[in-house]
Amino acid sequence: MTEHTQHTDLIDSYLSGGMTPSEETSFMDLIETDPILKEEFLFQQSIVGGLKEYRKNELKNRLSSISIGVGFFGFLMNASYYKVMAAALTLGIIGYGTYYTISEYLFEEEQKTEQFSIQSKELLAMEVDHPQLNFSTPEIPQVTDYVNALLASEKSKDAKVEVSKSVKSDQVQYRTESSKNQLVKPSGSEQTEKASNQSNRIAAVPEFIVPAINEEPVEEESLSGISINVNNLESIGISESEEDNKVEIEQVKRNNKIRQYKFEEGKLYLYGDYSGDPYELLEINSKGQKTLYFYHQKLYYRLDRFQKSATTFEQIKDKKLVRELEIIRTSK
Amino acid sequence: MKDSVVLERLSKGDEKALDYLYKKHYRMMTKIVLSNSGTEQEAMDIYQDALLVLWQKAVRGNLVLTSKISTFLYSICMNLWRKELDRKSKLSNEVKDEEIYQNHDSEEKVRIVRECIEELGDTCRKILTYHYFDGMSMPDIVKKMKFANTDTAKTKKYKCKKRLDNLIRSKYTTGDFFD
Repeated sequence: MTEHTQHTDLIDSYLSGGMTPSEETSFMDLIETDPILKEEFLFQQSIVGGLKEYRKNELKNRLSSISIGVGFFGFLMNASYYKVMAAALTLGIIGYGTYYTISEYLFEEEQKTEQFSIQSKELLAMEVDHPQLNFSTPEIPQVTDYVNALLASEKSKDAKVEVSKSVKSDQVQYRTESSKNQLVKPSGSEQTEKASNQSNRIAAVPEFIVPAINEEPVEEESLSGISINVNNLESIGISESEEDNKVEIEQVKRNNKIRQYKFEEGKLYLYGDYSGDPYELLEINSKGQKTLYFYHQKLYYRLDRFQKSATTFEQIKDKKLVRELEIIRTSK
Repeated sequence: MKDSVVLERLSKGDEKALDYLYKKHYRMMTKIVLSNSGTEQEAMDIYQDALLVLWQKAVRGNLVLTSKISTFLYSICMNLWRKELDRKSKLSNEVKDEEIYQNHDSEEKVRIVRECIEELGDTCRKILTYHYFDGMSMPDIVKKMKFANTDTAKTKKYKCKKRLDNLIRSKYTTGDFFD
């Protein structure tokens, strides 16, 4: 490269912005006619351009290193923070809603599964424990057995007779109803349905009433040939098992394993987990009196109907009474 | 700090006055870009470029403000951002290979010069950048760099420039610049 020292000041003046517009025009014309000058000009232009770029970056880096204090007001005025906060709030609401909905759904599903499980186990247990359970068979002779057994055990003229036997869960109730002077006979439609489709019994029979006694005081042979005069029941102290005497049961699930019960407005609340084994409620009615016994895991318990607060079950240790309850429970 | 005081300090090449202005108007100026589909980084770049325009004008003594500094900065930011949007629009419509090649060639030259500038001493680097970018006058350079007088500063500037030229020529062939 040939140096044009005579042009150095001219080029420097141009690149430093020291020329007037007319001087600039003349200089550009000169560059176009002198290739050596042009070469030197381009070289110097690159150097000055580099210097300018260097200084520009230096100043910008200096400014970038300054921290901008936003302050509380600035924070509030900054729209981007609003967006972030709004997005976070929206996500939070959606998340909570989703969690709540899913947890509710799962809880309901779990409840349904547990109830069905308890229901199934109880019904299956009934079938296993009571293979003779056949709703097409009249129950009259066995009611007589109950009476005799009770009479023998209580040794009292006022002995209670009628036993309504219940095996209950939250939704399924087996109730033995007695209506005055009505012969025990199975419900025809239910009987047919259940006899024809026993495998579907669990799902199809949430509630059924086994015996029904004619209102007229009659004495006739039952289907099995044994007769009973219902009037005699009254004479020996058997009371009616009225609709309003039915005990409703509600299970209350708790985390601890302790099983407790209480009565509230005639409703029996059972606390604890009973999903392992089915329980049975034995209801023995006499005149103006109803005694409830609770059977669970091969043990009998006495229930106090006036127990308002949750309490543990009182196990019956009287072997004689246990034996009698066993007869009542297993007899059909 | 009043605008007149700020301008006075800027004209003398007081970088702290620049820092003050930058901090003072940051939110207002960057909002121009942010509210017109720009990013935070783009907003900051545009605002810094606008401030440097103000800086150069003030240092060269070419700035006669008839309005507030913030108004002046606002108009520069608006113009710069419009130019940037136009550039981006053109870039997205047609990308020419030739332009990319030229840009690459130019970038290479800048890289060579930058390396040589960094090899210079601190004094030479400052006197050259103050003169060519800031447009600082020799008396102001004398004050800022505490030279004895203007002649000393001029001589120093001449020698530094000569040294940079030679450094570039010695390290790189002419072909690097003119091929």
